[in-house]
Amino acid sequence: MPSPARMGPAVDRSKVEFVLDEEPVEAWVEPNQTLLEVLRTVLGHTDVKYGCGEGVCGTCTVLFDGDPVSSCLVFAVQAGGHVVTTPRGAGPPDEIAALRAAFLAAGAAQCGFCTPAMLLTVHHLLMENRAAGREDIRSGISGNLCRCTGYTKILDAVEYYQAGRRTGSGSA
Amino acid sequence: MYPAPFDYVRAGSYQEAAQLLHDRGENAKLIAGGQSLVPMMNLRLARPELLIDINDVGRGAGPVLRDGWLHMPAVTRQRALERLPAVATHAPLFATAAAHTGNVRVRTRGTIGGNLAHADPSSELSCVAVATEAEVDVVGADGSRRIAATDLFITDLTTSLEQSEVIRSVEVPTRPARTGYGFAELARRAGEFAIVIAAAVVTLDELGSCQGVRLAFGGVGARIVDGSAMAAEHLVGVDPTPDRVVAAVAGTSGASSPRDDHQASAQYRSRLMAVLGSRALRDAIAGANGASGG
Amino acid sequence: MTGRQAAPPIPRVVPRSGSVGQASVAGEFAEKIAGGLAYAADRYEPGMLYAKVVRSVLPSAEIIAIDSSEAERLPGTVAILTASDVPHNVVSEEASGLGMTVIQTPVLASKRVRYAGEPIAIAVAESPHLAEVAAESVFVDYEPLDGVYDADAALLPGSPDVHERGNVLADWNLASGDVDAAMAAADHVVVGEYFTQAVDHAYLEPEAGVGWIDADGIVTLQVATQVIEHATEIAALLGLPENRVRVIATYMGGGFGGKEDMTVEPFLALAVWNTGRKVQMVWSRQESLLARPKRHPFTMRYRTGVTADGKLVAQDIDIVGDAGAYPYLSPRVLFAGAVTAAGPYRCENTRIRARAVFTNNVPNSAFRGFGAMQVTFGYESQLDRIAATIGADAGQVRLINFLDEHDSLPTGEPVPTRPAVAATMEAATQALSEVERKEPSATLRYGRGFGCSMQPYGRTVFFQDRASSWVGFQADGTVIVRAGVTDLGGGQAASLGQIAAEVLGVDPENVVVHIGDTHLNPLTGGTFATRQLYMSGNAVLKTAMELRETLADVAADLLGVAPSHLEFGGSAVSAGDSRLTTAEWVRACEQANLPVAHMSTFFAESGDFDPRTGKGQTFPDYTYGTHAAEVSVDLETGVVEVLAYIGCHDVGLAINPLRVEGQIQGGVAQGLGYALSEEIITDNGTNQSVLFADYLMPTSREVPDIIPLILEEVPGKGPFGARGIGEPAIAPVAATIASAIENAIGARPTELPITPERILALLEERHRPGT
Repeated sequence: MPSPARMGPAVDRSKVEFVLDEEPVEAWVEPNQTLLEVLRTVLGHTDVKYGCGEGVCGTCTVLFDGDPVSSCLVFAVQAGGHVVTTPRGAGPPDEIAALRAAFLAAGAAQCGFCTPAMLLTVHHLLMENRAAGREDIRSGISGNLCRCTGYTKILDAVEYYQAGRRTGSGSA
Repeated sequence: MYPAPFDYVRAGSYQEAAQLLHDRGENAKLIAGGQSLVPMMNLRLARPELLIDINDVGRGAGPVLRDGWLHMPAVTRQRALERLPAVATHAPLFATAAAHTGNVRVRTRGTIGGNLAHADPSSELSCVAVATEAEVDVVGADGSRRIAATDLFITDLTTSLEQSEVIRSVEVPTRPARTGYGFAELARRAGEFAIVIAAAVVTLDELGSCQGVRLAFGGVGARIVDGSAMAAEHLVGVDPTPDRVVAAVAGTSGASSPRDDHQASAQYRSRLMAVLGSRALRDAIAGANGASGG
Repeated sequence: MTGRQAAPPIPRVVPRSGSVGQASVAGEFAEKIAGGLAYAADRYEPGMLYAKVVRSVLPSAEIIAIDSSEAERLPGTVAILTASDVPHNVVSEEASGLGMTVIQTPVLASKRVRYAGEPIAIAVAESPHLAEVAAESVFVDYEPLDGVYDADAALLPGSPDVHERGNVLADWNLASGDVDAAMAAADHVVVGEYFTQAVDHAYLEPEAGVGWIDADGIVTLQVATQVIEHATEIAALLGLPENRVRVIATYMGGGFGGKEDMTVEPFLALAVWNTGRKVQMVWSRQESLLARPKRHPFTMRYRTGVTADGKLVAQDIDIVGDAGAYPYLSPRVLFAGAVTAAGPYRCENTRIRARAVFTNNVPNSAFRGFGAMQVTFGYESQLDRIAATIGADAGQVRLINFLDEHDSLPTGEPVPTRPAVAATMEAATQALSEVERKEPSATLRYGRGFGCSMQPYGRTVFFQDRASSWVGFQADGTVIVRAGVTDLGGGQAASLGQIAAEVLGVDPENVVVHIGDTHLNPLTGGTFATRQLYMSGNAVLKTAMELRETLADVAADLLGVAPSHLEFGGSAVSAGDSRLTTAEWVRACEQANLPVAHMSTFFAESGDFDPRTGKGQTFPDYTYGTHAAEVSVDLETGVVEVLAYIGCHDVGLAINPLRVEGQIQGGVAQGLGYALSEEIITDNGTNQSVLFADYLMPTSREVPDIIPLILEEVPGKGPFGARGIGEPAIAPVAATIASAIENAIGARPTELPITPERILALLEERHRPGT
């Protein structure tokens, strides 16, 4: 997706190439554009959100080479040669679908603004530790702020998901 | 909300980075993890004209034990410090401090070198660097040198590094067998800057007397407070009893003048130094006893 | 005084078809979870412009000059707008609703600024980066003036005037009986002073929106707002006829009252109007923390007289609320605080005074709980003090004083529906008692406590509140609902779908709800005051019932029964074994030339209130609840951890129990932040808490599993007997935590937030028991 002429007189744009959700992408960016800005405005990823610009709220979370980062604190030029995964693009698809279904059934989303990043963070946690318990998850999501749910149903959702995997229902 | 414009270059080595800093002067800054710098840039409070990206330098090289020192490349991620066996074995306070730093995203990007170079007196890693007598290996346009952590931190956000000097690695000395470690901090909520941090290292002799003690405090003032000398006065050469621990810590917190701000009063910080310092020392003593296998 | 007029009766419908009362997950939630739902900032188009507000850096100053020449010269700047570019430079607000004189708030300041963060100009540019640079390049020359930064100080003679008329914005006075005589005759008089702080909504979605002029020349704003009806204010400030402004609400990433007043709307509208182009505005988090209205800090002074056995005989209450620099909704917030200041307790002799006071702090306005939430900390603290004074059990003292259906409120009006607060107290405390007790250690003390509350739902009845909706069948039996509601994330839209589904007998998955659009949907009034379920829910209920009634005869004829024997459910109409699918029924109606869509309006009950006497009708009803909690207190560091938490409310009927639970849990978490850590700290009018890193809202680590207990004891005035839950869920939290802390350490916090330092100070005062 080519980016429209947005910056007035051309300053210092360069092409950055990286892997986004398993597909190679390229974008013409200026150094002072964060990965967050480029994902949202050039690459169509409004599932990655601006919440604070300080790395505190977590709504801008993406996976960078497989681990979670605040995309508001990474410049797009720094992503060149790396692998970026967004909430919409996380996988494997059957696991993500099952995790989303668990969030839905548990009522774990209210306004939904924190949800895509929250789910991606949980997914990453579970990939590292399939047997993560409720308190591990509580600790693991402590960098993702939610103002609506009080977190309890998010933890419930993870337990539903794990129960589903154990009984083999709801996945694949 | 949007950073001011800047030029961007990736350095292939620490030496190259140092040269670039030298050539471009005050308006150039290094970017490693960016977890301290980029928020300031997003707020437009920091406006470097050139960012020198050192994330690729020595890519893949991790901490290794060398000649009795744990050598940690500057761009070692805090996430790696949390997880790597080499750190857990030879510099466990760094693993603990890293685990208490920021949130999971901060730790994915944040580096040991970047954290120390930022010289935030509320930094857990800075605190344990002083507690463990770590040193930084530094390269500049004209050569290299080693700086002890205690000499690195001058004041709030200011190090003794020259403008073109770049931290290459953090070196942590290994300790004798009967050594234990303690760490305690109080933050107002998960992931936030700590109000007070205490880190302790205690080495015991075969009879259980204290052979050496290190004690450092973060979050208290403009720089990391090194309470080791005061603690040593009370503890070295004797059995480190709870009363002596309390006296050791009281001496330190009495001698420093903690800062007073909207997060916490000086009086509260003083009290926390006593409480957390005692907890850290007690854990270090217990650890040293346990480490001996006896 | 014309007296209260009841709302026209809605036929009592017992939910049978299974939509209402179900934990349905229908609605927009799946899309939210998948990251597909578009929020207000999620529109990017080539050629779009970006706007940024230029704000005052001083809290009290004269503006000598505004120099935008450098900003205008920058490449990419399209316009710099100041007060002279605003056709009618007033945000019109009906601040009190009772004809009290109000101060007009300017959209853009021209001669005087009264708070740090007050808007002065708007920079419009080709990119958000350039808008930021342009905004930075507008230079304002100020002459600093004296200011006042504390509400109590603002009441003193000689304090600087924030506005010419003086610093008292509103002064509500309620009274009943003879409080002085009763106080003098009381066996005990318990005195307490309580202080609450300013807190921020801290919704995760910053203020945002996009505006444009459409092909018909209509100024259109698509924004994250709780109130689309602000369209009329936009029209007024632009000098346009009201039908030439359209506001479309997006699904919000949180509101909590912070998107109830206009946020980006006036600035976007001006930028659009001036440039003729599409414009986006997104506030930075720091801007939001700096300049958005907060929750009113209250100073509450209580004197409560009781008999020897704890019966309340006199309540003398004085509340002062910091309104900040402009009125916004302050008069109404202090009004709600006044009406509920005595709590859900019987007392025949009351004197309640609540004043909204101007200062040069950021204006305060609506925030979940709206004044009635702050006073819970006051009245519950008093009840606990009373129990301690007479040596009685805290629950027992409440039981003998709880309001019942025969009692009156301090305004003289009867309690609208039976308060089941005792039932909630029993349920919550019983549930907590089942949590295993812990043994204190050398450094930790454990404590348990509870708090009760009453929170209004619905707007005051002296506003003739109304809501309209449109419900229509498609030929295949699926349903469309159009209602101008705005959705905060609490399932406001989805519950309307559930109600329509229930009445018409279809599956909620087959109902589509279109929300918030002033041009395309009937107006329902904004989502605030916990009114949405009560108002738009009743509107949809009424509309759907009327539609069903119009069409019922057709089904009755076809099935050969009387209309009263029809049952609606399972996407069919049936009578015994005979059955018509909904689609068949609708087609038959169309063949009979009956309209298969209908619009209707629900009028809330109305009444009068006389502010001079303090007598009349106020809120239509209340939701009652009790929360209970266990905490640990670290005697060395003062740190409080919340270990167990139960929130119990009588909700009348839970339309969607899953959403009710979610509201309770979310309200509790927000309340825990209020109780223990959140504070907007200002220093002589300068906000010190403008970094999100410094604003201590709870993370998952600070919040235990919250157990929601839903009681359906007494039907309320919402559809199917529902009561509102959005605001009630936050009210009892601070009092509950304070009560648990007192149980742990033997000292009662009277100031919020209850920080570790305040705990240590309390311990020191109490001469901490030695070990």
